[in-house]
Amino acid sequence: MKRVAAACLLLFGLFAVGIGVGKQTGLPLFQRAAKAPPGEFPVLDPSPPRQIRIPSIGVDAPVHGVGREGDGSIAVPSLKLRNEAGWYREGPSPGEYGPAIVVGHVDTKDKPAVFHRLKEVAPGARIEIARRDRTVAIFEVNSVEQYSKRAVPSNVYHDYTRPALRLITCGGNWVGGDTGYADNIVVFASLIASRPK
Amino acid sequence: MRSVLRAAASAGALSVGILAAPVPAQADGEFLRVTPSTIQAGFQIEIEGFCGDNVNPATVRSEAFGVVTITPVPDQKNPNRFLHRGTATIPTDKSPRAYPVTMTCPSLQSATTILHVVNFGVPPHGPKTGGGALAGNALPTNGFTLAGVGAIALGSVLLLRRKKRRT
Repeated sequence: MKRVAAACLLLFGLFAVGIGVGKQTGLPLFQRAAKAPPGEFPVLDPSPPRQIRIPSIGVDAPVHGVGREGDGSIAVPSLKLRNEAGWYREGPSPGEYGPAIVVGHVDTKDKPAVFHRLKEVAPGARIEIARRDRTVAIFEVNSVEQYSKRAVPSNVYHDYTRPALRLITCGGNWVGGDTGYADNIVVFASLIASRPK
Repeated sequence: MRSVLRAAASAGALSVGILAAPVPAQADGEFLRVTPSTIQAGFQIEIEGFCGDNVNPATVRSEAFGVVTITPVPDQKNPNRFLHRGTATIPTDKSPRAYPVTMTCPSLQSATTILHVVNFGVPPHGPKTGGGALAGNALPTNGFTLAGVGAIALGSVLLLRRKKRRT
C-alpha cells in the first residue's frame, strides 16, 4: 500500500514539474489551444492607429508611429513612455490586408510597462484599435507565441492572407547588453469587425 | 416576394460593400477588385473584374505592376456570367504608396480600384521592448515546480527505503 502511495507521489511530482517547467519556459506544454481566424472578414481602408485597448488585461494606451532602429530592427517607444505603444508605420495599418505591427515595452528600467501582461492574453480575447479615420478595428486573438529574438519567423511580418495584427513585446531570460530580454512574445490576432468610434 | 428578396440581397451587398473597402469601382456594372488590396512588394496579387457580357480578354494597367491581360472564366457563384481573372506580381523594388489600378474591357468600358503597396524587409531581429525592471521575475520559481520536486524526493525516499528493508 505504501509503495503504491509512493509511486503515486512520484508520478504526481513528475507531472507537477512538467507543468511548472512548461509555465516558466513557455515550452508548449499545457498551452491554451489556438483559435482559428474566421473565414469571412471585413477589410478597412488605410488609417493610422491612435489608441489600443485590450480589456482582458487592462490595456488602454495611445499608439504612435515608429520606424526602424539603426540596426534594422523595429523601433520602440521611449522607455520614458511607460503606457504607450508603437505602430510600425512602414507596414499595413490595422484593418488593411496584412499584419499591422504594434510594439510595446514589457517593462521600463524600474516599472512594468504597457504590455507587461501580454503573455496572459488568451485566444479569443478582443483587441480594439481606434484609428485616425474614427473607426475602431476589432481584432480577435488567435494565438500567443514566444520566439528567440534571433529567430522571429517571417510570417510575423509578411502574411497577406487577411487583415491581421501582431502585438510584440519582450519575454524570456534577461541577457542584458544590446539584446535585453532574449525572446519576443508575439500575439497573433485577426480582424473580425469594425465600428464607428 | 421577388422584390423583397432583391431588396434583401442589395442590402446585404451594401453592407458587404461598406465592410469590404476598397469598394470595387463600378460603372455600368463593371467592377475591378485586387486581393489582397494591401501587399508587400515582391508578392503576387489576384485580379478579378467584370466586363458585362464580354468574353474577350481585358487589360489591367497600373504603375505598380505594368500591364497584364486577364481572361474570362465562368463565375462559380453564377454560371450564367463570366468574370475576368488573372494575377500580377509587384516588383521587389516598388516604392510604397497607393497605386491606381485600371481595367479596360473589350467594350472600352473601364473600372478602377486602388492597390496599396508596402515595402519593408524582415528585420534582422525582434524589437527591444524591455527595460529590465521585471528581469528578476523572468524565471520565477513557481509552486508547481517546487511541489513537484518535493513530491519526487519524498516518493523516491519512500520507495528506496522499502526496497532496502526487503533485501
